[in-house]
Amino acid sequence: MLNNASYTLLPFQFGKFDGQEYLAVNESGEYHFIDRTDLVSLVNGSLPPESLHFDDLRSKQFIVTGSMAGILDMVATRYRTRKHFISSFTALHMLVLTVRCNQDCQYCQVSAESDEAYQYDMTPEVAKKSVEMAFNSPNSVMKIEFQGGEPTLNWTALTSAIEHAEHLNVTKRKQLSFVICTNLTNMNKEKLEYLRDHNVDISTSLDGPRHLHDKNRILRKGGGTYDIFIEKLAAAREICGYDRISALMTTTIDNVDNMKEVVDEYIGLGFNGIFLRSLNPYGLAAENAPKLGYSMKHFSIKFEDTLDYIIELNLKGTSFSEYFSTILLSRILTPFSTGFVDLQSPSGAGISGVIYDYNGDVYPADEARMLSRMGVNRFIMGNVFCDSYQDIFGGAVLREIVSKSIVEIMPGCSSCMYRAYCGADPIRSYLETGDVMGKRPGSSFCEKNMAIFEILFKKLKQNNDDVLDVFWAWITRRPLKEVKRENI
Amino acid sequence: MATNITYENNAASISMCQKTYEKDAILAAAYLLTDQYHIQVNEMASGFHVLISSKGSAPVTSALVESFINECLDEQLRITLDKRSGKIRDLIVEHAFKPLNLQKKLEESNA
Repeated sequence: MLNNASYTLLPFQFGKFDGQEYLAVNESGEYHFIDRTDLVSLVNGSLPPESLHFDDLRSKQFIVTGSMAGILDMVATRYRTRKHFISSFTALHMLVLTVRCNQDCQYCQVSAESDEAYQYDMTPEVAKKSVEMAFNSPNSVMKIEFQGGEPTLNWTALTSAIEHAEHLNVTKRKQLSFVICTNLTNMNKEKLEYLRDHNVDISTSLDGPRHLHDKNRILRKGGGTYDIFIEKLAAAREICGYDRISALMTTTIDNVDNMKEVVDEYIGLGFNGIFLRSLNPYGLAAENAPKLGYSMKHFSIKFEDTLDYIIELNLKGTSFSEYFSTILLSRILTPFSTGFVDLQSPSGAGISGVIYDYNGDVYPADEARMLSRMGVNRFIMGNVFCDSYQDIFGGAVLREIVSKSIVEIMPGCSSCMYRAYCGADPIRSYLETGDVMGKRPGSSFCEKNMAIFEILFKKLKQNNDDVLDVFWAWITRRPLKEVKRENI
Repeated sequence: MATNITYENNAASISMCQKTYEKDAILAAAYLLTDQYHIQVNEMASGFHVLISSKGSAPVTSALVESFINECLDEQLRITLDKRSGKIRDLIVEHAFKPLNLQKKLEESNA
């Protein structure tokens, strides 16, 4: 629509950011801070060319003063690049090898079963059939992730899946990789050598130093796991390679006020970064929420403190990233698709990642499987033995999830200033509201993401060269010194 | 009609001018409060009547009402923005996934 102005207005979202200042973000993912008076002028077509904002807004594609077609083509290209994950389709295939676990973590999101509950093991037949199903995905990249329970307790299914995938890939020639999510406590030399020989990455869990880790991560037979973890971590690094092991933390009331200590522990153990991850409301974590939980406000305050601490460490010479911030900053500062399944629009559930349960049932996300363990089965997409690939991935469950997880059209999201960088979690929406599309007011998922976006944008607005250099070092995975040299 | 506000029994009654606010702007602003408040929006001959009452213990304060009215203004600005650039947004999304002859489309849509 033409305006009676010296420019044509392109679409963007805006919201109040700080005092009288507003943040505007457009479809290219470009952002701009502007006060309300100028924002109103901009929208009404009366922002004068001599305004301090004018050239900036034009260069960031908020307004066009010349030919439209070329600019729209560029914006559409950037939009398509951000949504690249849609055309690639499912790359992450998670196999639940067993629901058994030798640990009894207080926040277990899958309500794991005891070591003896063999009925919850995936058979080699289910493992192979799941792998065959995964190979139907059109994506040339394929990551198979082994989950549990504790997946090393069902070694037969693990080796069956890996070897079958390798065999199939001789002709399929996908970019195939494996990762195992393990607490490490059941690991031994033979298992580690097998993982090394088959190029399996290891993702493990660490909640902090011994007194924090052992609060919740305990063995089913009793006793903490920290000492065993440290011993097995060393063995895994020696056999598989130092960089093949990464760790995830879970934040509970026990470590939320001690995140700096957790960061120090990660650095002390030689990890390159940390994902400051809040508790998800599934399984035992939901049941034990009164004693393990905290408000999102509390989490976001601690997140900001810890982020500041990590930035300071980087500036003092310790290279260490916060991974969630890195993902969001990549979305804010670059035009690329980051491929983070948990925060995409449409949701990555099913179309980016999918999970095959021990019995061959297929779910769009790990959380849907967790919900099923809580008695909610509406997200089962099908079964690898009963249903075809087309039935499972083209079926009603996935179609509903995709159509109801597009933030561009969701109430409360469509006009949100952060929506170009954000995404939806339809499974959690369903858990919280009984509706797949969910409701943003009162959503802890929305509250957390909004708070973290605000923390990051505050830093971007402050425009401190040192902090921005740290951010670019994280985004580009380069040493800070190299980034600083480039910016001199 | 100017915006007129009265408070009674932890509820706020707000009369809003039809010339300043469209119904969609009021509804969008009201949606943001639905977690903790009941919001009734009634269309009157002279404008809109909005009643905000608490679902539980959350107080209905003047700060809340002022924030609601400011949000209505922002939502109204979003409606204006959408009228001016909504068609272009549709073109961008369509072109991103199914390349168009943009020049022709722009001429057709007068965008």
